[in-house]
Amino acid sequence: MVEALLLSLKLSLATTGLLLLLSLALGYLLSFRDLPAKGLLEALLLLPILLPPTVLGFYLIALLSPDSPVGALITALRGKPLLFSFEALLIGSLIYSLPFGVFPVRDAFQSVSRRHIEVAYVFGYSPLETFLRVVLPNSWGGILTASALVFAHTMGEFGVVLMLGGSIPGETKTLSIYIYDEVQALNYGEAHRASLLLLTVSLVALAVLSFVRRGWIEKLRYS
Amino acid sequence: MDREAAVFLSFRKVYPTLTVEGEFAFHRGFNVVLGPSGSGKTTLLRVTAGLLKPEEGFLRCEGEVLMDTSEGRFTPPQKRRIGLVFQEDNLLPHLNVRENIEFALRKADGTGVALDELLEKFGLGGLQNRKPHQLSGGERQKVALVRALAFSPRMLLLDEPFSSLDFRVKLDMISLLKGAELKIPVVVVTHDPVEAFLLGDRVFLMERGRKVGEGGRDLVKEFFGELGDLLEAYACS
Repeated sequence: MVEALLLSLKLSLATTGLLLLLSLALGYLLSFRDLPAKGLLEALLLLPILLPPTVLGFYLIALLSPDSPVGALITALRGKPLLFSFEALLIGSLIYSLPFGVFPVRDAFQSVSRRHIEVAYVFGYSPLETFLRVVLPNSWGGILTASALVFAHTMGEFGVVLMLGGSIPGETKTLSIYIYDEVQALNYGEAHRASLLLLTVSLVALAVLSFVRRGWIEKLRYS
Repeated sequence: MDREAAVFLSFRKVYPTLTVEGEFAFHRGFNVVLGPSGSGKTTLLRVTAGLLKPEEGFLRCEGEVLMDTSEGRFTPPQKRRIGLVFQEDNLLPHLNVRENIEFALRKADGTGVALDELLEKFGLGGLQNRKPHQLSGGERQKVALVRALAFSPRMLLLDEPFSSLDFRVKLDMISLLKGAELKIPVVVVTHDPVEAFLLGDRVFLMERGRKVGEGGRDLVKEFFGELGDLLEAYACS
């Protein structure tokens, strides 16, 4: 159980970190750049919310399988297939949680006062400097919300993980898969303990992030 | 074109329901653009600051052409070195007073404006560690003004800078501004004839997107009739 918990935490932390970087870049593009077909891009980014995890998992299997050109290339580069590995879980998690990272960050960027951005421009700050010095420091609320959502979403992830990773102890057997396996084996006591652990860890992580976020908002709030 | 003017602006900006256009020659000292809401005053400031691109426009500031649409020239706001104070919400909420001023000072042209001197001169020494939400409206505007001056701008634009302040604070701010002995062109847009009368060395009247009058302070008196007499009596008292 501890091994499965550690794997879930590793997957959640890696997904949160990587997805935040991706969300910052995509949030910036969606908020401040004139992109062609921005509406279509936003719809594509929202798709993982609508698709059942099994469908998403199935498409990723089709894409990453050694029989596909992409999968064959990855297999040639890695020396072994990507499917049923931790990296496959990570790719699946990144796509599955994409909207939970991108949209809170995008909304946070868009809620930064246009006037503050113009103040920075007038005082000689380039768009990139303005992003780093004005937009980012005033967007921590949204960034922390995105972190909490992605972390929690990945901790509880099941369908995509099962499709892409199976249940290899130490490699792809996350806590949610562990619980499923224990239920299948009729070990309800162990399933209860693992479920409680998953619930507790997720709740504590979310409470800490919520506490940090609240502190940040209090610091900035106008009287 | 007024060749004596420190700043010459000519532009035409088309909106769906209004076209704002005109020629403006701003001199060193206080140039007040007076007009009701929707008369195009803020458009004039945004075009001057480089925050808005007009369909046609020419801007020369202290000998340097910053915009000439006929030649495809448009200097971005970052390169114009023009100070700007909005009506409200000027200060960056995550920075305290000192950091807000440093924000502009960092990009100043190195003429050596000392931050501590500025803070003391404008009575902000005791407020320097406060965040914008911990200041009164008047204090916030004062910090925004000091920040704009710390930038060593070659021109200062003030967009209704006193309209959200109560009358006493407004008068204090006007005194402060006049006492600062600025040697650059300052353009103040306002809908308040009192501000125009108390501040304006030159006054430009705007209505429905066009300049409808230009002159000295007396223009306000003439234009507002009896109110003008009251203003004069007030100013002399």
